[in-house]
Amino acid sequence: MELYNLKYVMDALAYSLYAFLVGGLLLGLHRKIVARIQGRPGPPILQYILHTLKFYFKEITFPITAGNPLYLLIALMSITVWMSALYLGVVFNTSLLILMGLYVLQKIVEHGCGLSSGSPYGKLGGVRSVFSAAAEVPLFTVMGIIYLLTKSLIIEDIIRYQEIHGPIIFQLPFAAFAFFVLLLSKAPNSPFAIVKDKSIVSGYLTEHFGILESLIMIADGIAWFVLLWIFLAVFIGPLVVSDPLMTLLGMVVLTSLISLICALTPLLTPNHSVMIQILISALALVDLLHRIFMG
Amino acid sequence: MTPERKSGMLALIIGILGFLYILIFPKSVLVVYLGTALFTPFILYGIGIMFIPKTRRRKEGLLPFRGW
Repeated sequence: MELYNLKYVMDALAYSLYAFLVGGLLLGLHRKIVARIQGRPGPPILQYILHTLKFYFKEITFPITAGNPLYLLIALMSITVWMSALYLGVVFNTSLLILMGLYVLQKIVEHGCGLSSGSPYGKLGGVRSVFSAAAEVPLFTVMGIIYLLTKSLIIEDIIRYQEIHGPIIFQLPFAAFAFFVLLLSKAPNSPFAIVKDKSIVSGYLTEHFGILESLIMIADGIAWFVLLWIFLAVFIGPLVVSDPLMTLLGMVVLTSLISLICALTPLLTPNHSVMIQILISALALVDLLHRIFMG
Repeated sequence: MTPERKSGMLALIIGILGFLYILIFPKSVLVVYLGTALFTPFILYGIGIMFIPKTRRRKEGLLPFRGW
């Protein structure tokens, strides 16, 4: 019996490990920058990865209110979603539409996490994750605008377009801004992070502790890497993503910028958060319609 | 066996069988990658559950005594 595919499996696991380590370090850097701006020393940059390892070896019990097997499987699904996004987006450079679908699956993870736990805080977090789907509305319009310009939604084609015409960010600044708001809404402690608001303890993660929290943290690390990479690939292009070091530099710059915003802005209430995101999507829609009718 | 450990064993079996399948059968590289994305969490959970420390609870579902 020959294991023909061993090399591909090893490659896939190596990509995931790399994405988690880079994403985890960037999330650690995010906390450090936020702390420094607020006049605190802050945790070490390694803290996110150390927390993930620590929780991996902690004892767990299934809460009596938990709805199994969803309570358990939703944590596993979280990793599957973001590993798939990593492979389809970063490794195979497939369509932005598939990544959009996977991003929607993430909402199902958040919702399922909250509702399966049986905790009222978890449930509130789950319900808020449905509100925060408003963050995805600008993404639809952004894709429309990108398609009008590049005539394709395949990431490889978009990167090739930028090789000839230069970074899209200069041609579609508003689309880049709308996508940036999506990144911001995914960041911890961001003004749009209503699903993990401290007033509802840890939101949808409240009852997922120990190894299950560790698995969700692994998924969040990979998610951060993937989202930053997509922004760099779609709006800045081969100037950055053709070189791994430049990609890392771009990710550090983006994370620092997001940290600055997170440190200086308060958390919005759910209705304000949704209103602002809908406003941004309406403006992006106007931009799209303007490009359709005015050429 | 506690329900946690039972779920871990089950996850480990699913993960190992899944990995065996994707190591041997698929012809498409994309299927191998997506199979890895599907079965790695099962392996991670299964291995992790084997490492969790022995419970301090005397009986299942009871919190350990933490003083008065």
